[in-house]
Amino acid sequence: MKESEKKLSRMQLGEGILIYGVVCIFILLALIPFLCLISGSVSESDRLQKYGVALWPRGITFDAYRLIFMFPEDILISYYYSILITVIGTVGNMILLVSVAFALSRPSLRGKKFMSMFFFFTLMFNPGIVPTFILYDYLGLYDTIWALIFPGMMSVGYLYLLRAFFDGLPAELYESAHLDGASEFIVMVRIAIPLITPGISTVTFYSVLNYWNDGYTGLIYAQNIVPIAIYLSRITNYIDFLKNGHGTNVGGIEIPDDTMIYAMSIVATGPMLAIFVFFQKYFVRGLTTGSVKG
Amino acid sequence: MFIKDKMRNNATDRTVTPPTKKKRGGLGKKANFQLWLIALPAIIKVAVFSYVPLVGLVLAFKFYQPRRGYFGSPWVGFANFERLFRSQDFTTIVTNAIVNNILFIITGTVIALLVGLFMFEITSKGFTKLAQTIIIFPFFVAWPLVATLVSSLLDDAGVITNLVEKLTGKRINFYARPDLWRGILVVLNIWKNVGLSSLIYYAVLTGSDKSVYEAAAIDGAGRFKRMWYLSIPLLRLMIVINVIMSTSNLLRFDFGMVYYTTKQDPRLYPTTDVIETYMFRALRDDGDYSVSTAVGLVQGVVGFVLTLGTNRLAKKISGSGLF
Repeated sequence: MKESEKKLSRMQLGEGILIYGVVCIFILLALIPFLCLISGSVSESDRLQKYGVALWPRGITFDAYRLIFMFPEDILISYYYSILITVIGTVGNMILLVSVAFALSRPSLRGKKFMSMFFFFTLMFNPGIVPTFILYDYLGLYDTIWALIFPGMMSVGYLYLLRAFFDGLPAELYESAHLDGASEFIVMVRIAIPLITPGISTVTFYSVLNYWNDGYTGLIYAQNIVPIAIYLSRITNYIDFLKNGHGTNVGGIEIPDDTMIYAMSIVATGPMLAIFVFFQKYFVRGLTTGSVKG
Repeated sequence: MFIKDKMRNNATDRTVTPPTKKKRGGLGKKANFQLWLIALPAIIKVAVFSYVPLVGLVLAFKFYQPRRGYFGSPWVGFANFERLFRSQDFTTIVTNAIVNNILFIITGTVIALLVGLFMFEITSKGFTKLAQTIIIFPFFVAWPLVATLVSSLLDDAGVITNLVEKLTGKRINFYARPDLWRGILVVLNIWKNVGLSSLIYYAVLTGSDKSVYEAAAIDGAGRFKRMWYLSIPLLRLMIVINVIMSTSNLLRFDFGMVYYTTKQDPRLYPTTDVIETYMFRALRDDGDYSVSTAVGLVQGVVGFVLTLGTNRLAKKISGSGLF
């Protein structure tokens, strides 16, 4: 180790406490709510109502989970819709985004400025939800899964990230392919796309995240199609409604209300959160390279 | 990387041999046509779902009557706007959007910068990685779940409610105290986004030249001196651009954040209601479509002007804008 490096790595006590202390505070802030959530989901409901959640469960009971898995139909249907919407939406979104980003990245595409403005305008000017709602209503898309898929498709904000990745490819790459007589489409699919997989995986991740967590579109454009994010809020409202004086005894079954909310949250969001955490490095990598470059 | 190099070699090898060279700067008619064809599906999608709705903006100039339909309703000129600008709601939602956004921009930037700088100073790569993985976690959480977490802290039996009672003897009903909610939203915003934004600052710093830091260390500059005189100037351009870009969204707000975490409690509207939630209520409660469209139009026009302006400014400062 060089002398200078040693000096760099050595931290004075005061500095160390402050730096590690601040970072540790943020770690705890990020972690504690979820630990409380897990502990709450196995706590006894009446004790939760009195004392609130804590890091350590207040009593241990798996009643809430048992109840959820006894009647899983609703939650499974919501999962089904969420998966369907996320998969179709993301595939469509990526196809549209990548094709436009590729076209825009090709030098001297005629009308490039126009094409660029055509998409960028939608980012600049958003007419609000009423006119869009009217259109979906007119087209008969209200309360179909398409009403939950189309709004998130072609998310122009990520066009520029993808384009930056295409721009990073050397021009000679395309020239040789053209001399072999390949069409632009072949060049895009065979040559360009495989080389920008970091960018594509980042935007794909973002797209999945946005579709899955979308608690907005489903509220506006649908009634009977309840994706998981909205299902969670509905069930929470429902339990709150029961709790506030309507009795939590439904059809002869006593619902452990507070515990139920936490357990439901975990069943509804846990699996996907685990997936997001697992794949986050691909997301972060592409995003940081993209933003540093641009 | 390897494939890329290989392809580049191939490319240069071949360009030496062919005698015919295309004119520079021209892709050829065929290639041009193919590129437009590739982009066509996206163009159609955006034309139908983003441009056609613009026609619906006429509603802002009509008195909407459900029986007569969107286009059969009578024209009223700017009456909707007059009604809107005079209403108390409009002042509230616009003020909230601007004030809360400004608070978000300031606190969000400062805290993310702080965390990014501190992360960079931590020499244990393992710890940094772990810390980043955890701090970014809230970013992946949907607002309805955040609302449940917030409620577990702030409702009747909430952890914070109990804590406050223990310390001061007073019980606070957080969902009836609009004055506290700007602060609560600011905290939520930091909590959810600090991981990602600090990571970007961190990435810029790790990509920078380390020798400057070593030289400064030899000269006896402490950690905080190095942060102040080396790291912050390195990040300055990025901070400025980020701040400018976020001001283009001054009137826009995250619907999910407000709608779910406030539990749609009307008592909290004075500090939390924003244009998005207002328009949503109008639509859901079959309220005033015309005024709601007018709000959307105002928001859209302001957003348009701000985006153009900020983008131009960013271009001037950094030499490159978004378009």
